Amino acid sequence: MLQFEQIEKYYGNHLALQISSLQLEKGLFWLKGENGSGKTTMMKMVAGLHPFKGDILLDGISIKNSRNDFLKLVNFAEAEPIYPSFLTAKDLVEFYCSTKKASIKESIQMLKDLHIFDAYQNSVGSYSSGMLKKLSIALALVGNPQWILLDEPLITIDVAAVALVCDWINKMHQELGISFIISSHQSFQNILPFTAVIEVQNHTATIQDK
Amino acid sequence: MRIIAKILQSVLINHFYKLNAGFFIFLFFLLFGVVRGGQLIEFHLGLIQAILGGPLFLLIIIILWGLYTLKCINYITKRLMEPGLSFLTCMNRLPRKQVWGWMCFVHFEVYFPVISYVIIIIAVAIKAHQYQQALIIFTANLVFYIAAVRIYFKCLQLHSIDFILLRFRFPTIQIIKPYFLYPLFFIWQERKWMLLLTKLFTLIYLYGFIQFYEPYRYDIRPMLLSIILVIAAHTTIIFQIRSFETEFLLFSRNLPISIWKRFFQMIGFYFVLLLPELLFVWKGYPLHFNVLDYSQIVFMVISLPAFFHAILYTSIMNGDEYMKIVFAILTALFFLILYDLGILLFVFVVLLALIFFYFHYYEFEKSNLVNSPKN
Repeated sequence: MLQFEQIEKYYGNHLALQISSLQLEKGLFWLKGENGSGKTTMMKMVAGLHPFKGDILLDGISIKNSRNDFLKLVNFAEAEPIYPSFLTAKDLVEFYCSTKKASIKESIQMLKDLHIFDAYQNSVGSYSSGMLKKLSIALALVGNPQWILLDEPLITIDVAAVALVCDWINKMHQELGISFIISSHQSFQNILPFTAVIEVQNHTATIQDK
Repeated sequence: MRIIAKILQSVLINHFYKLNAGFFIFLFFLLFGVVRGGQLIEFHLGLIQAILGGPLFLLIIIILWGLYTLKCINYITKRLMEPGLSFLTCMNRLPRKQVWGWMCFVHFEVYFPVISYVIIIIAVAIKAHQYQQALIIFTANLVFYIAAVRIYFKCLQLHSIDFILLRFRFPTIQIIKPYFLYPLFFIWQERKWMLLLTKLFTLIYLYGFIQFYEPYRYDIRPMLLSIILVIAAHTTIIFQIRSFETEFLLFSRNLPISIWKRFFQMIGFYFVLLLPELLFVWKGYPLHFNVLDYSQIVFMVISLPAFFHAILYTSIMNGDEYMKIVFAILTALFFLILYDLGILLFVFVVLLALIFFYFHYYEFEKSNLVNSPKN
């Protein structure tokens, strides 16, 4: 279970997000909200990228007190991934797999399925935004996470890749019990069997029925 | 017209000096800080006479001016190509002569430290009737100047840098890249001239110190004071590395790497970055230090950059403040070293770095670097 406790996130003096209490049981969640409502902020807090007041716990493990144990269980793909341009996909796969204790072979297979393996040894500076996005999604799926956060995973990637990614999400959720929080402005309720919708508005997040 | 000057001043020239503040602090110390006040004029006259006295020294100085010109070219062309400054291409609507004039203005401002010293050297040469040397110095600098202005002009006109044959194609490194060395690859890829010039100047400085300074009794402190200047020359690189980390390594915060490991990776990185200097100082063994005191040098070389890196995680830090604080810390260290506190001083600095790192690493957010030179 993912628990948000007394969360407050400010950018300067501006309150971006305030969640006094929110609990997410295992499942597939669609994170909805207007531009600037705080969806990405919420994901980045769970992923350990943003500091905040309060605490987030995963099955009782606090991100504040046991950050490493927490992050072993949470993977994240950004909406617009940024990596140093001199790194190759190979460098990133090896780095991610070594820290997440994941199989390089499986990651390579994902890149092959996404048709970007030909550029495996090329620096990511030469990648198109779609290729970079595919790489970031593949990296977010490595290891043995309990929760995977995907920020706008379907933008910029081609139709075949959208179908493939949705298929992976379905399989990983059903067969491995991995939970997902997926933010998107596009409706894809027909493709993925969402457990619930998390609505972010008025600087707070609430769970709504499908 | 005044508005163009103001814009160029703010986006190109001021930015250049901010970006290279550490380099200029180092040069300032080198030219004005290492000599006693009363001997300053004699020191510079001696230096100028040495430049004018022998062809080899003159050649070395001209090469150094050439390298500085390359540094300016590299910076200005890269800056002109940044998407945020693409609005400067509207200057192409002005008459060609005017654009040339503005590019002359830009180079005059960034080349000013050289120009001011060159004027003094030429004046001394003329007074000493060394007209040939004066002419060589004038011509070399004129060629450098015109070449630089022409490249800026072309770059602005074509909004491309492909035409520059001098686009310094260094080999791309195709080797395993450990995470802790990512900043080194960044510096090599994006700031190679900054790195090479810093290394060149620090190694020349260390060579000069080891070669010409003869202590009348064993004392480690002059060597430590020299190392302070070496670190000062690296402060801009440290700032660039922090900016790079903030911009491009944010993804790594999602990875389960302990804070201790991250800290020691940073220490390891600075050890590698300053390894050339650490090895080079052995030229001064055993006159300037003994084996036991070498540990002080090593500790200093890793603790100070780590500390300067770590203070950049604090929320109040931006480029301008950073340079002021670094300058103040280096000045304080200058006096603390004179008190001969030994290795304890640098152990204390490492501990301070660790405290800053531990408490601020995960609390830091990009918005805190809004006023950085790179942004």
